Amino acid sequence: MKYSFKIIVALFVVMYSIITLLFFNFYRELAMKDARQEAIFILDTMNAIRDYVSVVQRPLIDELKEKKMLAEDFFDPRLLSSSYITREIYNIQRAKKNINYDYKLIATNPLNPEHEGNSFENEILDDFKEGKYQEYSQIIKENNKPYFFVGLPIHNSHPSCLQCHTTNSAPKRMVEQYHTIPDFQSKVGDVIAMISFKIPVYSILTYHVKEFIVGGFVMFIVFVIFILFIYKIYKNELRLKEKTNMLMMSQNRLASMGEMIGNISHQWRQPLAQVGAILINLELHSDQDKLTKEKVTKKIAEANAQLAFMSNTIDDFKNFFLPNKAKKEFSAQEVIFQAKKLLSASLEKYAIDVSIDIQNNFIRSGYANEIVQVLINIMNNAKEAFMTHHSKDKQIKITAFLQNGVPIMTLENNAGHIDPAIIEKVFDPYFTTKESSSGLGLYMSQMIIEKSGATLRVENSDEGVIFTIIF
Amino acid sequence: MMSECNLLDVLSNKKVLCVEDEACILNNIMESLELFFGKVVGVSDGIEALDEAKSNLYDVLMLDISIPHMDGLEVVKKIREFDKKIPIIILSAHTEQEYLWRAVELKITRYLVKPYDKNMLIKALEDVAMELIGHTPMLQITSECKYDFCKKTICHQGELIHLSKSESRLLEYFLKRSNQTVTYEQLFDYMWEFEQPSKEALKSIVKELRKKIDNNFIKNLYGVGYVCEI
Repeated sequence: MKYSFKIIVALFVVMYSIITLLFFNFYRELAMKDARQEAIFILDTMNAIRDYVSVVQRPLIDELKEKKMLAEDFFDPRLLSSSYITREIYNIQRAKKNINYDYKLIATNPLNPEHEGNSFENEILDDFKEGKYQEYSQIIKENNKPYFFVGLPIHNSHPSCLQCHTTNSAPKRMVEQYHTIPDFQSKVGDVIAMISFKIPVYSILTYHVKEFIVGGFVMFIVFVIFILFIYKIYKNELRLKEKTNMLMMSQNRLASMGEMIGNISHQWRQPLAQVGAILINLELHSDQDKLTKEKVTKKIAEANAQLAFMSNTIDDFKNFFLPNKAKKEFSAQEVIFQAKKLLSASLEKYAIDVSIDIQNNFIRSGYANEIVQVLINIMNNAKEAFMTHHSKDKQIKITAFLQNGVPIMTLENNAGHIDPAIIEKVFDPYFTTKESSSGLGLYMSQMIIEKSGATLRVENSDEGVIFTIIF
Repeated sequence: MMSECNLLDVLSNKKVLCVEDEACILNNIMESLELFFGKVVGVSDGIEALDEAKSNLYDVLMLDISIPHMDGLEVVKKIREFDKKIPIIILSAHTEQEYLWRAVELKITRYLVKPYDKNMLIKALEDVAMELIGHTPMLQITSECKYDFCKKTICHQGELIHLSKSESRLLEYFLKRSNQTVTYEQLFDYMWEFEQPSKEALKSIVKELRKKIDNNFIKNLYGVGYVCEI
């Protein structure tokens, strides 16, 4: 997996938060729009009632007065005051507790002091009077609590309004009741007041709380499913990667075992041939009755020397294959000599001269055998290159030195160049130019080197290739 | 005719060159070969082997392939340029086709794959012996005279005459080159590798052979050498 799982999850969390925020905001907007619609509907109803009072009730009262069915100075706000009637309707609704909004009428110089607005309301009313807008809806703060506020202007819709709201023409009973009648000083059609609707934002939201919860919950579930899905993919990928790695490691192990067994067989071939020659010699002498006691003793000693050599060889390889238990300190010379020793038979067989130049025998800590393995891999590659590139004197030069205090090992051969087109790929897994190769040798070498905090590089040199290990 | 004859006795007056780079193996092979051959010389690298082979002293060559400086098959290839006949045994751990192809072209007598056992070695030596005597253990030299390569004896009208080592060696050299000119130099090289050779000594051996076999089958070529006419 190219991107780390953590980054993807973080991205998802951010995306989820943004989407949730947008979702809630959208829902809130929707709720507000709903509330506004409702408020305007209610206020329009109130205005309609007011109009009904102005247009129907008052003329009817006047008519009744003219017909002397009512006293000339009859005045009762319950029949004549639109403000009074609307407020009473509101009060009835409120008493039934099926509303949670505040309804209020605001006027300048109101007859009823309840209709006196606060500074904010008066400001809006002034704006209405100046005709800045036809309706007003906004979220406002009062006592640190948010409210949704909607205001609609009341036009001086009928001359009958002016009758009562003018000192001279106000009915006598009305004057008795209110003592002073403030003048409207306005014409029909002018804005004289406004009605407002105020509802706490909280109650709008609590009204929609179910939708919020369901929506949020669904989104959360989807999000969790997504995360689980990604986690599963990530786990699978991880397992697959681990599997491939294990496979590669075991393949490489098999390949290097095979190579090592090849080396052991090279190392053993000579002593085996010697023991064989000794036995034939003994047999022939015995056949011809020329086998003396001295000869037997001498030949047995010779054979024993070969057997001891074989035993030592197998011990060297056994130590090499021993699993690394703990890191330990090793010197450059130690690992280079060890690698050369293990490969000595096949190097001799192909007449490859390995020269070692320890300019600085630096000490490193780690798994010596792994470094030996890498050196063997690189030398083996050189050996194979020599088989196709017939050079007269085959040379591998191993140098250990310090460059600006950095320990470096180089392995240079004269077995010809690596094609520049593929030199970048030689460390790729399964990349090989040989038929019998697994293509894992250099890949594993680089893994081993990088695991121990060093780097492995390859370049073409004058006559061959130079591998550099920078510790 | 063959039954009482041990083919390997043919080798008793022959010289073999053994080439092997591992001292211990060389030593053991030489010790083994000494049981059969009149003389065994061992060298350990290709160039030395070629120099020795050029010296014209040897009857048989035995080479390992993996030797320093020049590989065994390369040495044989160079030897074949001047000596097509000398029997050669190759010893090698290589069984790769490449080596076998190269070996086939060189007309070697035996290719012994290491590890080989005693019987394989004996068989190879017998092949060499057969080749050395041209596959005829008893050679009719004249109408009355037969030579037995194994026993190194002459059967002259039913009478058995033994030959000395140098006599048999010289006779076999002549028989191998019958009807060819054999120079004094060739004979000096072959018969006396290091000691100062003398014409007198050579003449006395030839005289002895003529006496034991026939007066006329070895003819003098004045100032040059001899020719053996059969």
